[in-house]
Amino acid sequence: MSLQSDAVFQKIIDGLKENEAKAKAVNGVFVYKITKDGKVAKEWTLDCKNAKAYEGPAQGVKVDTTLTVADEDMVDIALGKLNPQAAFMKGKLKIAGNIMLTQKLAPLLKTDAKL
Amino acid sequence: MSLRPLVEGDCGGVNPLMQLGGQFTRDVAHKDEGFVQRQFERGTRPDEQLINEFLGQVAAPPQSFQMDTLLQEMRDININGAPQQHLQQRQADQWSQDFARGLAPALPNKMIHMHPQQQEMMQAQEFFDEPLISSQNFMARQPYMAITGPPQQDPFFDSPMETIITDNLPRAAQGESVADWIVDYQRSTEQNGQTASNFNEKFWQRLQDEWQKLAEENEHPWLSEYNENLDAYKEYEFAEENPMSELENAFEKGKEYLTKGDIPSAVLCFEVAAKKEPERAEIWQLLGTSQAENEMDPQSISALKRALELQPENREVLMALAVCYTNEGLQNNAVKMLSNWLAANPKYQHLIAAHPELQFEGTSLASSLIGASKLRDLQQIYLEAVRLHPAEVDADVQEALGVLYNLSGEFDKAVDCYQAALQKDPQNAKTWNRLGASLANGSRSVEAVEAYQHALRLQPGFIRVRYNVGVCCMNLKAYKEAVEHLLTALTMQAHTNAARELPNAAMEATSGGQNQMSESIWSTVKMVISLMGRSDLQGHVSDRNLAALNEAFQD
Repeated sequence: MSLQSDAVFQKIIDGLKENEAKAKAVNGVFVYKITKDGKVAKEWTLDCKNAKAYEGPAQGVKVDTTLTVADEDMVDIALGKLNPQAAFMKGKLKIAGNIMLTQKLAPLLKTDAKL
Repeated sequence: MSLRPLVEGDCGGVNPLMQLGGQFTRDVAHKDEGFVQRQFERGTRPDEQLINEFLGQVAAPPQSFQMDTLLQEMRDININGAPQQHLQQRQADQWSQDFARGLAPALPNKMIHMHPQQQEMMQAQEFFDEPLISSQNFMARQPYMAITGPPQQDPFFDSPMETIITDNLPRAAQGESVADWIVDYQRSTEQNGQTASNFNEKFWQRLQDEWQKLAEENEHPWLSEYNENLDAYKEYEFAEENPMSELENAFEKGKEYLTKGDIPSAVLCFEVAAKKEPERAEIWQLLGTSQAENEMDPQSISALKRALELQPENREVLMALAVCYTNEGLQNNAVKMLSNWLAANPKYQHLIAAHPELQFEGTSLASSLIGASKLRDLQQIYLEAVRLHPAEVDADVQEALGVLYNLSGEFDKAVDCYQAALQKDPQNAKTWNRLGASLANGSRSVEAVEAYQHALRLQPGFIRVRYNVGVCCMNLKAYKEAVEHLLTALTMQAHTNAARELPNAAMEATSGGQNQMSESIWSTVKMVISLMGRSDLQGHVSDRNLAALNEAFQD
């Protein structure tokens, strides 16, 4: 099944490959559970310690944080329309595990304007 | 309040310390004490307002989540009702109430950071830190404080302090009031220390272990990150096939192209010049700044670093590097550059000389452990620089301050800075771009586009601005427009005028020009195409087949 958020994760995969140092600086393993119509549709693993990301559950690494979010909300977060903190507080983004680490993830998700 | 230094520097797990810290900051506890309601109106406001107000504070990412964890832990604490903490609370509240009674109508409860007050706050905060360190329970903590940097300013801790202070202390009497408060607090801390030493000991033991773990875990990644990033930008990668390589006076030709606004062509010329005369700093400098405008930050950094090696006090190079590092997310390096900028500026040298902790020698490893507090300190120093000449705007200082605010995520403040800089120099396309970028990163996309348009009117060949417009359109979900802008930028890079104007214009199809197209632009194209649902075009994207893509979007 193809979801809107696939684009976001593709971007993350490319970003991790391109700048390994930045990835390792995040130094965490995150699992994203993307839901569609209330049910978990896809799972993505962002292994920043090894600078790679892939679809499916984590393989061979201990997961630091699991985030559950709806497909549309994931796209909105990536486009900067939805602030992850606000999403978390409204319950649109559920986080289990090491919450602090997700802060470091933010720059990987968003496409920033360049000064 | 006083536990701030302990609570800062979370680089990982949810700390049991949060429990202790949390209860000093939550309205709920204070409400129980029957404390002055107005101080903590937050607790009574509806959810949305609370969220927005909270987010309105300095929202540098590491800080925001603490609040929620605190909330959680706070509720746990309240249920368990740790007695000695309650007692401490009483003490703290009493003195506040004393002040409240003794003073004129309190200032409105503001969570907005006001600069002059913030300065006073800093002094006050230092007072708070002192009794903490002197108290018996915290002695053992000190060595670990040093290891576990970077201390991160928690807005949530800061704000109650601010509100308490701003509401209760008239500026004039602040010195005395704080001193009295310190004495009271010290007394109360010692009392509480004795009554609950057992609980504390176990608690701190656990804490100590956690901090140690964190310190060990986190130190290496920081240091290695610092080193890696330095190396990542070491060598400049010249274009493989440079159509301008036979050119005489490449440097002059390059400058000509710049005045014409053709950045990609200028870059090609400067590369040739740099190969021929690698000891001329000005060539590397122009190459660096042009590559930045060309949306090629990694290349820009390599070139600018070469220029800096040759001319370590060059302010333009320092500023340009700071901007590039900011774009690449290398906060510490950016802060370092801006700090050196001040040191290299005779007008403001004295300001930075007063802060030896912010001086950086070449490759001091210690700078990797800087963190948010150094950023805040530097912001304050730049504000001092602004205040030196309040009637006159120093555009460079405003630009630097804008960069610093972008780093701390205070985009609205950055916008103010760039607007001030533009008043001084309204025809500066780079400044318009930075204004636009600050607006865009602060989620003010529509205004951002306006600023970008200004920049493009002044310099139609400004590749970076076109990229930014593309990103803006994407964020506004105008995918078709986004793709069109991005493809325009790529086309300008791939088909340089320089190549066309050559006498032997046998310029092969752009396959030779791979190096000249920005990776960042391509990866954004990829994302937009995916969001549009046009997976049929992804093949062209991976092949970097610009021609095919242009055709696909011809209509």
